[in-house]
Amino acid sequence: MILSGVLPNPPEILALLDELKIRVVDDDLLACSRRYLFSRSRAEEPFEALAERYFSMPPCTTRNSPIKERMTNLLDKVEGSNAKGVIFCMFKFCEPELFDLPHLIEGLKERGLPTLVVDVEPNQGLTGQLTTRIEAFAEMMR
Amino acid sequence: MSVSRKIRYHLMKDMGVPALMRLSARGKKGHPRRQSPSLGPPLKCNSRLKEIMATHYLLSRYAEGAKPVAWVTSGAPVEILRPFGFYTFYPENHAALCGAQKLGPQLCSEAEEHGYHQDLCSYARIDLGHYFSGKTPVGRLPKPDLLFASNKICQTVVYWYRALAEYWKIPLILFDTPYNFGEIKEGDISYMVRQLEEMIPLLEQISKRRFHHKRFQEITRIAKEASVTWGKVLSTMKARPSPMTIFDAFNHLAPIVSLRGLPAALEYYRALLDELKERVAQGIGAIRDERKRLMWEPSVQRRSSSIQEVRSPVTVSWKPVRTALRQQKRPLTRHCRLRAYVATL
Repeated sequence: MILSGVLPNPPEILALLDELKIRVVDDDLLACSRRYLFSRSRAEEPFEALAERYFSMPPCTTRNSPIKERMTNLLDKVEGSNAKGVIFCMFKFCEPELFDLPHLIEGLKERGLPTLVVDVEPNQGLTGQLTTRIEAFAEMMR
Repeated sequence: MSVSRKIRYHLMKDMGVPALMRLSARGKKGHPRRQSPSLGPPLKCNSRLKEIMATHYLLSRYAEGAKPVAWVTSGAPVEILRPFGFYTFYPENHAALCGAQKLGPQLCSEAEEHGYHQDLCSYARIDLGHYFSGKTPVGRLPKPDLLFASNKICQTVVYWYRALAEYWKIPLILFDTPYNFGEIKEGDISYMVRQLEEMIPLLEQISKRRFHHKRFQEITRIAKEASVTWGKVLSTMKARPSPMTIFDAFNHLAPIVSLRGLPAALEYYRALLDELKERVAQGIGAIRDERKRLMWEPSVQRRSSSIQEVRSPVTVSWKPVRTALRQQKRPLTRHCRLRAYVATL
């Protein structure tokens, strides 16, 4: 499975996925790979280096990347990792991510990939309902 | 752009629509709307405002194929589009209209069915709901050739227009404005000027028309005058009793948003200002017995918050850019490193 969205929240989701024997093979999370993956700049001028680094980061809603670029990036990840589904970890009221979501889900569906949208408030904890939804999703993928 | 569509557009603009407006005005006479007894007499300009906005919507149906059509956000610098002959259409204004006609919940749920979360801005959901269902109280909206957004007064429009660009498969140009905490800085101005310079070749390509600097100067002059007049309209509210309420102001800002840079907006605000001045001189208030006064804080305001400094957001930060554009004779270049961002072209 691939995780997309902002951040796996609550973190107990990760333990639950382990329990369900689901492996996260890649991520497109705003607070993880979209922040850490960038090529090193050779520019000597610090501002130039910063700018270069910023533009070399993966496509992200916070950088106003076109949805098409995000879609291509996500599909590359799916192909590269042979993932069987995508979980979107959303935060309530997060407009940048929520506006891109329908396009991404549609694109993945067209390729036969199941998706699950988890939208929670911070510090909400892993509720029984959320656990059931993730378990059902895991079962669907087997 | 076909010749017959152009002819049809101009016929409607000059003859058809004005005739229809006269007819509908005649039909409505004798049915004055009942209003609260604590309110003063309504503004005479209200009917003219309705006419201007109805004309704008009615004409938009004939714009498709006759003129390049741009969907724009309320903070976007439409002045730059006008020399290319773009018909500008405001989905935000349309969404407010849908809301007023009580179509909001229906259109929002259309968008929600397509995966747009309930937490998202209802203006955006109404607009996307229109995209999926085609429902609108104004008959039909013109299909856009270009999306033009600015994050000046609202960041949401950027995400919303990115989705539209993906659906319509048309270019999106974003005018990115630096956040202004105090006095505007030189670097900020050149950042904006360079974005505008970078847009011009793109706009030429989309509209298939050349940029005329002279026309642009004339348009910015009209736009600036209209903005200044609108500022004067707002400042008439300093009078006691105030000749209009903030809700009148919200209604009457439609032309400065939708028709900025066009002579119709300037003429309208001059007439409105005259009417308000007359009301002030005669002591006619928007409320019959004015006792308490509240100030509505605009979303964008400069540091000093005296009432004289309060202007419409549209009038605040454009002036330096306009001046800079007029003063700088720098050749227009395609090589601006800073982005006038194009999603698809």
